[in-house]
Amino acid sequence: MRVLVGVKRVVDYAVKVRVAADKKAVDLANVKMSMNPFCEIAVEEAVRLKEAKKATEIIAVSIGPKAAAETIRTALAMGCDRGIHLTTDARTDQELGPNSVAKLLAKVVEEESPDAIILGKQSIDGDFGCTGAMLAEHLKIPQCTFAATIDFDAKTVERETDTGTEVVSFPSLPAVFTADLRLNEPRYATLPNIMKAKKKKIDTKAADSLGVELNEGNTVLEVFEPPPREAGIFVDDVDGLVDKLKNEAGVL
Amino acid sequence: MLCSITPLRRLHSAAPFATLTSTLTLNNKLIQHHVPKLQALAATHSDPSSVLFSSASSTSSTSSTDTEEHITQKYSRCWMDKYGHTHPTSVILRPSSTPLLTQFLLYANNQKLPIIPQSGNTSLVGSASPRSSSELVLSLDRFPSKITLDEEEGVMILDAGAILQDAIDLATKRNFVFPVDLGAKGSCMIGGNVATNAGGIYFNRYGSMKSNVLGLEAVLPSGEVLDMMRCMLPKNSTGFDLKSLFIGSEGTLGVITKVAIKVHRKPLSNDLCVFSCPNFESVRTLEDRIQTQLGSITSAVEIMDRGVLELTKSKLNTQVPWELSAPYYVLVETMGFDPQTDRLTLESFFEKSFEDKLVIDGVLAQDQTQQSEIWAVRESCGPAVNAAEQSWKYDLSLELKHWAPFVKTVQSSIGDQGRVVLWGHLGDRNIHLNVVSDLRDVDLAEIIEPDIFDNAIKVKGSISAEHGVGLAKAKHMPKVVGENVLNIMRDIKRCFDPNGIMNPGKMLGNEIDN
Repeated sequence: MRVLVGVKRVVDYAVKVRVAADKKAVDLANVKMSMNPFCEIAVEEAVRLKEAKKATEIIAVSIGPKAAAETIRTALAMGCDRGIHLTTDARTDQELGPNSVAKLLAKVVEEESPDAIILGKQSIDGDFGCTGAMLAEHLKIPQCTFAATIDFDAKTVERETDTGTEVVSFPSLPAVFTADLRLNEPRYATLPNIMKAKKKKIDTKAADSLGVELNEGNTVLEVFEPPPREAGIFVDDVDGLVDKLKNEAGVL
Repeated sequence: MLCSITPLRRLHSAAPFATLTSTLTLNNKLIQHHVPKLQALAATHSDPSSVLFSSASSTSSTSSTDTEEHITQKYSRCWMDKYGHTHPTSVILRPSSTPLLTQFLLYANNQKLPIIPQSGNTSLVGSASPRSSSELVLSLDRFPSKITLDEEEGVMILDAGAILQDAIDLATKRNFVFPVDLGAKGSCMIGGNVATNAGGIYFNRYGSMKSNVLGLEAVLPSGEVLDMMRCMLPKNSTGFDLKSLFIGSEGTLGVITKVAIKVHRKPLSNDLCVFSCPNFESVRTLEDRIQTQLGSITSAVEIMDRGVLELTKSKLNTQVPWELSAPYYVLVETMGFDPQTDRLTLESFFEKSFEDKLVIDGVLAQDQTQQSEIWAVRESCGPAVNAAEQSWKYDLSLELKHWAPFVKTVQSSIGDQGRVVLWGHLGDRNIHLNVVSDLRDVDLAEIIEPDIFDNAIKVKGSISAEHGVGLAKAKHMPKVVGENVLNIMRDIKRCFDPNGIMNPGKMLGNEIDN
């Protein structure tokens, strides 16, 4: 089985982001960037498949600026075999939307013919959570999103829902899977593997050379921080509570 | 009236909780005569909660006595459970302002009452613990904790009650690095950090407490407030540098009330890796290379052995995200200018060291979360040792060539009664040589000491790299510094504290002048 994994270079999960002065974007100057945590989980799942001899080759693909090559290197250090880097100068946190990414990935899938495509369920910058589903739709193949466990033998996926989990089955491969938090715990990149990863191949091409329309027609109007959380208040009695819920919060 | 006890650092009691007893205890006069006077002082400053006392009667079975015992233990018992708990204090002074602190000290000085200044009570050598119920603990846990930062000059001004973690957080928020970072940061306060000349993980890069304290204010037993913050610029060569006397004075000269600390602009990139070394010889060679090839971008160079990591896994369930396939692990943190070049530098450093068989494995954190996890492992070493049935901690400065022989000597002296584990600040030659044992009733200190101290002195090492002398090592001071130096130290102490009320018995071993 050949597996294709998507990895995205995003603002490090631990960083407290700030809005840029022009209020059109998040300020990325000198901010630490890392692999999207859900992409890490996707990579880990793919690597485990290889270790279990269920996969023979894992390809890591990323769409982003020159520095995204580092993210691919991390994926290679975790155990992927080779990488594909589609370069773009568009801001991947807001300009390049999920549909564009899905169309680009679809082109890569046509070229590489993987049996399984594993993506993170969402990126922590855009947070759309749509790319996986859109990709499956473009390719007209099954999708199992928010996966907590994937069983390639039984062809079932336990997926997270708002009320718990449900088990779905997929009829065949190829299929798209998106990784949720509980799927696995990603390994650290060991230095010996980082060394080995340097010898692995990364194919680089420009994203706009694939013949895909990259403009989704969305314009960012404004980026702002959510209003600061206000302190709670005490009410004197149940009547006071009901009054607040009804007349202030408007939930009754 | 019973006050509610919270496990937090700050107690919010409304009134003292004990009543006078008529038992003839040693501290009878203390309770009957002095406490009311101290309470009167507190009242003039509208701070009645600043005096706590206990009749310390163990025969009473009312719940207020349990509460009292809990409180006196809290202010007496040291973190290692080695000092203070058998003879807890009976009076705790907790001023919330410098004027009241001054009044308390003045009173104590006039009445020749022994005062134990206590900051976060995280001392590992009993510096902050009372030796009897007649020693008063002067706690700074209700003292002001304000922190301000001048970004252009890189100066942070802190009241003595500021918690180290808060200082670190403020610095980080404003893109600065606080020069002192150590395991107890969630509980320790800056006054105590300065009084113990705290070291920590950034000593290697940012230097000692002495090089980072730009100003200091302290109250003397005479009631004088010594203002050594008139100039807080780093270059100021005007007379004897009195503030450096207070740094590392362990509460024996006065009480530090305010400090100005140099903070450093946060570098633009930050990486963390752990190298696995097959033997100590390779650790030594690696450290030499780290200095040459990574030198200016390293911020911390630490070491942990397999023993302490196995201990932290078994005792604290710590997740260690790398293979325990080697006897030694060297942690290197870098802070540089460019993330990409720093990464490449680290990777090629590893590659060469790997080829030369100095390292057999390693991990490089790929994101901030992994960095925090790796630091959590390093910071768990101290608590892991504490979690053993019994433990003894030795904080030595030794030239690298002596580390392995020292460990071997201690291990063979205790045989299979315990296990020696090694960790600490490799870059500054500060080894935390700890001994853990599953045995309950054997005191291995009897076997290990004083040889370990004598041997350290013999090879020109230090018996206290950063933990301080306190009660634990006061008796070794003559052979550590020599008689004539010690005599001058005592003269200086007498100059600041003629009655010897400040932390008697600690550090220099001075007793109260009665």
